[in-house]
Amino acid sequence: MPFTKHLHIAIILLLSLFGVACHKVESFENDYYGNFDALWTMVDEHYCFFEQKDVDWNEIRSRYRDRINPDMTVNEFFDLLSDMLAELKDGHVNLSSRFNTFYYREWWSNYPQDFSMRTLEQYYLDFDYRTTNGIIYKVLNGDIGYIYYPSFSYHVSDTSLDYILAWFKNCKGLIIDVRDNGGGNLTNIDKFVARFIREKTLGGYIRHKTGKGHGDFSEPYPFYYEPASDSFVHWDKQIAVLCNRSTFSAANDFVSVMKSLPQVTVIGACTGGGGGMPFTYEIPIGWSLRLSASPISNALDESIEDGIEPTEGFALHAWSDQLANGVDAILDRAIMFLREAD
Amino acid sequence: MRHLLNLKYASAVLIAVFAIISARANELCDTVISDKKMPVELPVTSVYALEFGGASVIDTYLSPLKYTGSTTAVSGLWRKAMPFDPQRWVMDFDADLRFATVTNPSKLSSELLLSAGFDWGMNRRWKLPYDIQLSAGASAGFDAGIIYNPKNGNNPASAKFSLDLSLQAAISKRLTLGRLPVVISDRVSLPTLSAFFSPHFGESYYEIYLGNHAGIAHCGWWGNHFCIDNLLAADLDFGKTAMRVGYRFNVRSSYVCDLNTQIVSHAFVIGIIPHGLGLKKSKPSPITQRIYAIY
Repeated sequence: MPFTKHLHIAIILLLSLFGVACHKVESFENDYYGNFDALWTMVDEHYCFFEQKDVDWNEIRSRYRDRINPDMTVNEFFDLLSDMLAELKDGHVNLSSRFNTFYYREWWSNYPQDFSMRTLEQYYLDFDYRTTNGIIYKVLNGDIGYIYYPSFSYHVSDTSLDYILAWFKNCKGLIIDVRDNGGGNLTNIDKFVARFIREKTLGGYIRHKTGKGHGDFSEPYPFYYEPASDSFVHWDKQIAVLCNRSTFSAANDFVSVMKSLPQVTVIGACTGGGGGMPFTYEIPIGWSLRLSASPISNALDESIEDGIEPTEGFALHAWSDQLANGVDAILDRAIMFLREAD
Repeated sequence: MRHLLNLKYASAVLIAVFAIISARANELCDTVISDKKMPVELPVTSVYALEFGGASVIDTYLSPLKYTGSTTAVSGLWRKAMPFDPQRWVMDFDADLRFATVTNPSKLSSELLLSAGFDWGMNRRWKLPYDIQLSAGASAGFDAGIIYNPKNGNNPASAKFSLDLSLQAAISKRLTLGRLPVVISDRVSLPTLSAFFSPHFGESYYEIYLGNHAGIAHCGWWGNHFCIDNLLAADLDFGKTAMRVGYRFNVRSSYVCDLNTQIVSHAFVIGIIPHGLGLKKSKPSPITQRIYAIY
């Protein structure tokens, strides 16, 4: 190869460097202002419900940044950041340090609880029930199958579901109680739903942020549930899903998809929402920040962030005074409905 | 960040300088290579090495903070002169397995990095006066790995995978320390055209698991996928075996979908070369010519 040709290659190589971009990673000082800016920026770039909740994050920044005092204690600084995050009114937003974790609680604390585990165990289960993988189950009054699933963090195995549904083979209807279920692993929804469908079913849509702008979202991507194979036990009869305001996150997603099935009736109070899959980040001081990052909507592509209403005509409360006297109005209504539906 | 940009410039300048020198060397080496008519052996030179050093990791999919810590690797290199023109062409296989543990500045969170790489390369070499050898060529390979942050919930890991076409260049010199033959070398590999994986800015792996694979494969070049590997090594030939000591500097970075990844490591290298380099021969074989790829 002649020398001039090598020279040309070298020149082209050098010229190509002008196209090389500099990719700066924004860094923040590990002081109060730096940590405040880091947290504000993380939320600004990744939080997914600014537009839906009509939150003016820039205004919030200026209001709270002015409150920083270099002489404030770390606890006071943590509280300041917590107060700012509370403006998002989102149960998926947390700030975690070694001495405290911030939770926004008003999404459920301002509502009736509509559930008492003690009442359930004492007056409906007689402290005598079967349990596997965290799932409580029993045949109520001889003809209604009852499942209480306290958390989607409990792994659901196909074998366990087979045993549970086979246990209910002579029942007229099935109650799945997800009251006080704060969510967990989305893949556990698949396990349940697969037993209640006979064909591929649209579950909803998922989006993600494509950039740092508040409105930078991908096109909605539909996700589907596949029926379990015929070798597994299926349930084709009526189902009542019980929920309350503390039904949140993955449990909220579960209610969303179950409500779309024709044999399912949702009974109780509006769920707590939590329709944004949370991501975790951190700020220089070492505190973890969790925030809603990837919105999930129902099969009609409607937001489920603010909760899911029960089936029309089935919204009711289980008041605390009734619960104290051993009456769970939501559970009673479900039992009555399933018997009538038979 | 400025260091990384400087690196890009420095490495490109290095490649350019190699290209210019190789042009001159091409003219020289034609007169250096002899044409002996005897059976030729082309032994494979194998180098097995352990690497220990420091590493830093920034992956904004997981955290905006720079994590620092230590890295360990095992690597192997197999090099052979090619039968069709053993004096000019050599072939390389490179493989490595890397592990790093790094912590954030407050030491409250850690990340684990595990990666594996493989490269096949073909290089043209020029033997220059003063026992200097120059080589330049290209390689094809892959690099796959994962960065795991156990503290994160739905974004606990960042998977890495790239198919790379790389430019390679090396310079080496034979010398003796007392009566010990030594080969000093510096070798640079610069992935130039790549196809690599990255999720979108806020895309969960759950969404990818659900089947949304749109836009997760990217075409890479220095502007969005800059990587460099530089190994400075001294091979000490004891005869039946040889030892390698060296220093490796490695950068793997990408910037795509507003996600920034920078993995930088500096490592001390110690290795063994079974059967040696062939430099410490008691007497040359009268009937066989051995052509080694490493010098």
